Amino acid sequence: MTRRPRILVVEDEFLYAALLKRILSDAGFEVVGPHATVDAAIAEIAAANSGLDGATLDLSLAGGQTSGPVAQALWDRGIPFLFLTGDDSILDASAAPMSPRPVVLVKPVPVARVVREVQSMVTPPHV
Amino acid sequence: MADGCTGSLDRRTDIPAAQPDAASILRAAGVPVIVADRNLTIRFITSQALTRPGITADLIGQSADSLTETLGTRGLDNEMREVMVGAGSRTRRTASGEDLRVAACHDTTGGVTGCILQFTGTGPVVPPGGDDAYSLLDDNETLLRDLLSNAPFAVGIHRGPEHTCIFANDEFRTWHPGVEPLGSTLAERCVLGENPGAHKLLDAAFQTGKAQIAQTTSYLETRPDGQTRRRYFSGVAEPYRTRSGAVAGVMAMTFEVTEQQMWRDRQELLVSELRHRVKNLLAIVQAVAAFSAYNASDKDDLLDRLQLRLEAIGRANLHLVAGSAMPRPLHDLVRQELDQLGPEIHDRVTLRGADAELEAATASTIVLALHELTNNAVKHGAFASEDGVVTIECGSGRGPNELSLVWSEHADHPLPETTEDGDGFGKLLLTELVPRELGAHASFSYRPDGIVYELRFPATMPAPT
Repeated sequence: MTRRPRILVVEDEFLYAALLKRILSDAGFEVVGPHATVDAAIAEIAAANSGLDGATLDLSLAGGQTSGPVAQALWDRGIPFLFLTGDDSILDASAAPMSPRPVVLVKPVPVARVVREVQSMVTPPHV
Repeated sequence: MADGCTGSLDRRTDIPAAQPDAASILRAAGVPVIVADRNLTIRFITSQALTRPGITADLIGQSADSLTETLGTRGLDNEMREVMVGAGSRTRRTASGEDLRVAACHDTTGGVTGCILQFTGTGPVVPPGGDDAYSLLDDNETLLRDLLSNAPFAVGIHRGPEHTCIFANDEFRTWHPGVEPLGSTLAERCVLGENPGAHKLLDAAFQTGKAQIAQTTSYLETRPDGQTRRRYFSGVAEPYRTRSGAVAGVMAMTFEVTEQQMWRDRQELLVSELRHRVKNLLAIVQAVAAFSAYNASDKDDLLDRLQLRLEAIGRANLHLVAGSAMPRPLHDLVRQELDQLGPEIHDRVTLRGADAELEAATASTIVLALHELTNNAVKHGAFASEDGVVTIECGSGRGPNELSLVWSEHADHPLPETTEDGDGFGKLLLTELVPRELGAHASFSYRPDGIVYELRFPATMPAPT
């Protein structure tokens, strides 16, 4: 019996955040968050026992913030993540140094696709 | 041309007298003008002025008296004399219905050198490069000064392949503070690498003999106080020729288009912001549709709830779009949501307590909460029973920066208790999502005579943490 994969959700639109939490929970994930700000998300990642398996990041957050620093923090720890954003125009600048490039889903996207992408994100290859 | 950069340059004193071809200059300026000297002998007619009825090259060398008949302006010659003795400028109406401005020309010391008649109507469009009619002027410098010195755009006249400056108006000089432009070559005024556009433009005009229009360029201006700002420019470079027809140099005009450029930038930003908002809105719609459908057992009921919720999202979104221009008193938000149920509903509602102005995002969220409360009351609560009433109490909460909203339903014959409000989304929104979004405390209780919902929320949105 393995524990449920822990997925960090960073999303500032509270209704959409609630939807993500619901669909990911229904699909068997443990949702961490949702967090609406960079600081809250980074504090979560830095917490010693966070044990994250993956993350979905909204790119542009309230107050002109982007989740770029969150992506960096995840990248530094080798935690996979995908972008789930309404604003793909600013993506190039944020994702340029990343290789392989993270998956980018542009809202609105069918929830089944979100679940599928999160599943393949946390599933190690060759298994 | 204002070359768009500054540099140090020794003041030159060995500059040959400025002798640009005045006809080309006036043509480039696009001004329909007739110029007479102090003796009222017509010396110069631009190609733009030659399009006016009766104005021909034959007038060159004649007395301005002859214009009186041609233009149908009796006493024009006397007015020309009057303005030359310092009586200001005049405006006359010609026989063809166009206004004609009469003004004196002055030299640098203020001495009168002649008189300019300028047609101020739009007139026929003249293709560039038309032939002007002129005789040699006694003092080109005077003419230039009068016409161009105070122009709201930078004018520089440069001679030869090095673009040696032989005329610079006031605006041009503001581009080269502390530097004397007269006599400087373009390379001296402006390093190639700093403004390749200016070099390319002037070279092209000089080499091809054709007018060149500049791409919009920009540079970062550093003001004396150390502040910087980006300024945008567009310009025209028009070659002028010697009387034999050879290109002698280039007259360049530069217009600042910073405001237009900033307007364009703002537009682009708005479009990008709008695209973002539309996609976010669709994501919200997706969320609300999904939540509405999760527990739906009845298709008609689902459709009904969903449509009402979309309508509420529309009202909530207005607050986000309208920005700070829109006042948002809490009482008005409550009334607006009740209005959705029809005017008679107000008889069953008591709204009391202190009103408060809400911030846009708070108002937007409160609208969604109020919608769930009113709609729930219609389906399962006070408004579903004959005698049900609702009391809405607004207040100042417990802390200094806290507001409260208490929604209490009272019905003598309440409906059989339904612990679920249909699809559960209303309750999720009221007890979990809205409180978390607002940083608020919420309580929801069922009492014998109806539900009571209390929301205590910060008077302003908490700063992002």
